[in-house]
Amino acid sequence: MTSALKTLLWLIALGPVLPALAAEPDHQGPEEAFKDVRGYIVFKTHCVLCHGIHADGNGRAAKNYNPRPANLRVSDKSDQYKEMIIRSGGGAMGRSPFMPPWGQELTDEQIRDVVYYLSVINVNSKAAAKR
Amino acid sequence: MNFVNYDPFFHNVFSLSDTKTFDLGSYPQGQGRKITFNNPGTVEVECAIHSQMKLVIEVTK
Repeated sequence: MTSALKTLLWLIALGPVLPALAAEPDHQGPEEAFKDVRGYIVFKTHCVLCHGIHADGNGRAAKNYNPRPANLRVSDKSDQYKEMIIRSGGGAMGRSPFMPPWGQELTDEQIRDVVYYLSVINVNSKAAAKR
Repeated sequence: MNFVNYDPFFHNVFSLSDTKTFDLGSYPQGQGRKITFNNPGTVEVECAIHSQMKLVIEVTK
């Protein structure tokens, strides 16, 4: 097999991964590279009802709640805190009891992904600044 | 109406309908929460945890 053919086969094999690698300056693996996309899917599926598609706390159910759902774009909570409140629910954390516990519903990976997504869209986070 | 959770995981029962807006919160297996419908009309009930779950209640006089 010629070296040109080998190179071509490598490029074909890596095709789906290359755009993500190019977008990530620290050349993370494909699993890491798509974490924000996966997190967005989790967010869109489970969180938009209250937090809204823009994560600003203005979902269609938000009007029901006092306090209103959090504006996650400006949240000052750590990733560890977000993971805990997602897993355990608002009531367990002394926050709104209307925030459901998602620990039984989402996998560990889904929770990590959505927390990462929230860090990407947060106006104050390092992940957001990196973009 | 009493919404009892018989499943081994949390559910959340809420409605944004004009006839009756409410949220019974999230609760585990074995618990139930009650709501009274005072006015006739259509009430669309949803689960905040499982977005595919929907129930339509027709309240009559």
